[in-house]
Amino acid sequence: MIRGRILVRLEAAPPARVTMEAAAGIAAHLEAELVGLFVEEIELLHWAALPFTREVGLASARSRPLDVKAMERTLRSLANESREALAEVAARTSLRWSFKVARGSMPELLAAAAEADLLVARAAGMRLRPTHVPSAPILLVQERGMASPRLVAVCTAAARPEELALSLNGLLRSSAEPVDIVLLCEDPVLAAQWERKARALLAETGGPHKLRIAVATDHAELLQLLSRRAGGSVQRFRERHQ
Amino acid sequence: MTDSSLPPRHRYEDASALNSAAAGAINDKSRAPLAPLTPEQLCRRCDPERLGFQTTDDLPDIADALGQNRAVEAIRFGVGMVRDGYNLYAMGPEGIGRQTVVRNLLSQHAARQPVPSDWCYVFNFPVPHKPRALRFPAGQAARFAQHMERLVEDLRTGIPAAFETDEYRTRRQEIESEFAERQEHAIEGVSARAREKGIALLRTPAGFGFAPMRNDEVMSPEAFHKLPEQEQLRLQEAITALQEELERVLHDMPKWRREAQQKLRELNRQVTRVAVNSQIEELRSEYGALPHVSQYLADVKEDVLDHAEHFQKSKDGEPAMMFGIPLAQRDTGESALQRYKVNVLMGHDGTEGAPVVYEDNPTHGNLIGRIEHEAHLGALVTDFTLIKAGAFHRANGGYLILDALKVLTQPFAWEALKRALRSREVRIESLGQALSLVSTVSLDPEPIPLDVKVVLVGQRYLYYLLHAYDPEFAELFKVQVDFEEDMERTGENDLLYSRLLATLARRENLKPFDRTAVARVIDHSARTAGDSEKLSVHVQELVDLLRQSDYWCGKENRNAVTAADVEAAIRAQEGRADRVRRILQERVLQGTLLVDTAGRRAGQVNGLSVMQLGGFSFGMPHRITARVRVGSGKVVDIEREAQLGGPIHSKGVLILSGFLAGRYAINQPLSLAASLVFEQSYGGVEGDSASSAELYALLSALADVPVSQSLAVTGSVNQHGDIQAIGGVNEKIEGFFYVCMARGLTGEQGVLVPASNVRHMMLRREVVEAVAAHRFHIYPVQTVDQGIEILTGVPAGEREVLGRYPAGTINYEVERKLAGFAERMRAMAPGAVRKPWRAGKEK
Repeated sequence: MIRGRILVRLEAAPPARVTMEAAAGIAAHLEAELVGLFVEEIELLHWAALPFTREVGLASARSRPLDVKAMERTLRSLANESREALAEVAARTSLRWSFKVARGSMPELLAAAAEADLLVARAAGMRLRPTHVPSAPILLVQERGMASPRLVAVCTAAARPEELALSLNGLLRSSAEPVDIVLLCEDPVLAAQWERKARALLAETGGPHKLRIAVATDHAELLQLLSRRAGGSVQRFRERHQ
Repeated sequence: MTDSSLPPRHRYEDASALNSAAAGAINDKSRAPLAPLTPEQLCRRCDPERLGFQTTDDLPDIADALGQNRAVEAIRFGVGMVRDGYNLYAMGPEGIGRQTVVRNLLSQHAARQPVPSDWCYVFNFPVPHKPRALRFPAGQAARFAQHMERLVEDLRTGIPAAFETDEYRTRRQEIESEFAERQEHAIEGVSARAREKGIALLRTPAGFGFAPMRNDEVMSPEAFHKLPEQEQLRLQEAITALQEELERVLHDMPKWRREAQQKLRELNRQVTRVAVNSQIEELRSEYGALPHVSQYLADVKEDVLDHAEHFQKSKDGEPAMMFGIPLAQRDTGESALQRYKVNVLMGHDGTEGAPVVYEDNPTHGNLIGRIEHEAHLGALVTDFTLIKAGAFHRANGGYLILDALKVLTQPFAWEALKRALRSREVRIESLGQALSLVSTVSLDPEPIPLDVKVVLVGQRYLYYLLHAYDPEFAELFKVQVDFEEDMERTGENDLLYSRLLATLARRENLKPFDRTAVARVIDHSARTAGDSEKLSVHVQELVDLLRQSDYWCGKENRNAVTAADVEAAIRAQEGRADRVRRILQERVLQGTLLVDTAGRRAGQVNGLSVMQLGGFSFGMPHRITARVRVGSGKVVDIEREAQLGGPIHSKGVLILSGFLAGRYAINQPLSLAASLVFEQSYGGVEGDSASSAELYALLSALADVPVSQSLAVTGSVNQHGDIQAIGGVNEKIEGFFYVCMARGLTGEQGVLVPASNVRHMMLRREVVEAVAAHRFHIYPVQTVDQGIEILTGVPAGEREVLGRYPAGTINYEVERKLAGFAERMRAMAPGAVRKPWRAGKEK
């Protein structure tokens, strides 16, 4: 099913332009709307509300006190910055686009992706856990370079293969390129079952020949796998393919 | 009056030369009636039959500069003296052929000299704002520039290729990964220790923060406040310790980044070195004989190793990519590679001999070179490739010819010229820098050693002024090249002059001149020289006459130019220029300007003046009158009182007082008040050529003896009454002659000229013919007494044994009148016994 939306996750950080460009490229390819979702992570606000909170600056290497008001001001400023950057990227490719600000945690973000065909996010900022249940495939982008012109979708074992097949079906049909899937799963047996089921389901849609699946056991391994993928190595995928 | 129109130098030279020549004649003061000049004495014509050729086609070219032996020797001496300061100043009037002679001689000499070195400016890697000058053997600079261009092209393919190897990619990734892992490992270590204490490390918008955890989530503030106070305190202390630890870790990160960058740089140098070494070393071995070039190439190599990224840009301006990521660039576009270009300032590829350069516009920049600028994003920028050569660079190793007046009138060009000659190097700096008007950083190119001989071409007065007022001039321009304006007129020189005409006619693509035409040109040349025994070597005027004669010859459809064509050209030249002369003559004939050419009148003499308008001179008669009365011995020059008289004219008038006092009032006061005036003169009067006429007018007034108005007078006079030579004698005689001719020649008319001017006579044919027919007379006068006798028809008189002049002579009457004036003055003096005035005593 094609919903006609590509959701790009915008973090509470200076705009991740490579991620935006990647999302815009896919949206243009699918002729979909680009939706920017700026997430005010609830964890940051909880942390800022603690009485002894201090932020250690990355550039200054010095700590300074921080409170909720200051954090909210920072988040508002970053949201505006992200909105402007997204508008600029969308204007270059003449895309339909929209921008939202949401406050919540990772599960809430994944739930928000239910309305989209694909969630695009910066790999380092997307701390997925195997227990997370994404409602759409996720494209994780290495900020230092576009991950791949091809789709690299990430799923967790908690996601039902049926739902994944439903989402990927549309993508596989519209994309001439193969789709790589990274399954985030701690249990190899469970991963193997999940992969078999997914392949079987996708076979019905005529897309297995375009499907490659790799498995990562945790977030760090997931990033490593994506990094190697970005470096041109697809060995891990090939291994799984055979 | 007249002589003001002549250049002062002209006047002085004539006077000194002619006075000495005439000295013998002046001493011979014969009392016999003075005979007028014969027609033969009035003009020395060149006889065509004696020239010995039919047309100038029969004559060979003349190689040397005619009549300029002294100048030619001076030039040869100057170019032969290879010492500091032996630069040349070629002086003489415009059109004399100074530049042609100088250029020809220098070119002949330069052809035998070695070709000078080539010079380039290149980038100075250690000190970028001081471009380095490189010297090459003649013709090799352009080749070196091509080699450098090819080197850069080769490096633009070789270096990127080296960076695209798997080995480089792997090693680079190793360095990047090592740095990333080091960072991650350090932060992960802090994060792990935090987790052990139930604390999470959060990534915040600007850095990191530590928060207590519960159930793998950040603890909410409410939950935290519900914790026991002891637990809260523990968590706070743990977080504080973790913050300090993280600060230490983050503090080390820039150092790690620098280390990684250093490793990356070293890797880049290693990879680049492989691509660069062979190519640059090949060039170094080729230019091994030139140590400074070899050193430059070594600098190029080091710079390329440090800036390999410049070579990784594609030509269309796209930035170099690494894994799809643009590489950081300090500079963009082709500009970064500009530094490897070679600015060939002076190349001598294919040239022979030393250069002979004439700089027509010797501005400061054109002499020493300049640094141009380009507009870039609203600012003016420059680099060593925009350094442009000046005349000194082009002439280095050879000769530079400059117009002295142009150099002196261009701001700071003279100073720049002297500085370069003094320091023997060319230092390029803008006027703004030289005058400290600009304080911005600009280029300071390395000076280039200068080995040049400068020839300044200019007027004589400039040479004398520079010599007098610029102490450095004599040190820098030791060789004086003084061009002659005329040459001796001998039979041999007439023939050489004919060859000069033949050479010029051929050079100018003119028709041949037959011998009558050549003879006429020679006559005209003598007239131009103002001396029947000289020929003018004013080449430009001569060329003009030849061209115009050729024109008139063409009008007559003749194959060779004849005397008639030359005559037509001369007449046409005069006709185009003589508007004012005609007007003045018309005024005289109409009676507007009062000039008598018949009758007699006391105290009134026809003087003669020369007017020079542009390049045309002509003579005109003027009435000079004198009035006398009793006074204190002062001869009043009305021209001077009205501030219309020049100093030389005033001097001439003052001499008259000396003459009168010395001759007539030795034993008594000169009790004379006289006034002298040029009637109907409304402009300035200069020169002393009218002083004899003024004296005749005074004597006539004192003696009360009328003067013949059919005669005109020219000549200066000294205190002894000797008549001295003047300038423009031909024009003056002709001026009076044409007025007389227009009114009708009576046979009584004529002109009194100084006897010492006889050799200068080159009168027109019509004057000579009138003299031959006894219808006009020219008297060569040596003394005042001779002149007054001709003018009045009364003997001047000589003192007799008793010291008195005989009665019935001019001198007797003058002396008697002055004695009467003196007696009257004594009678009028305060305290004197007043005696009744005896009428008729003076008579």
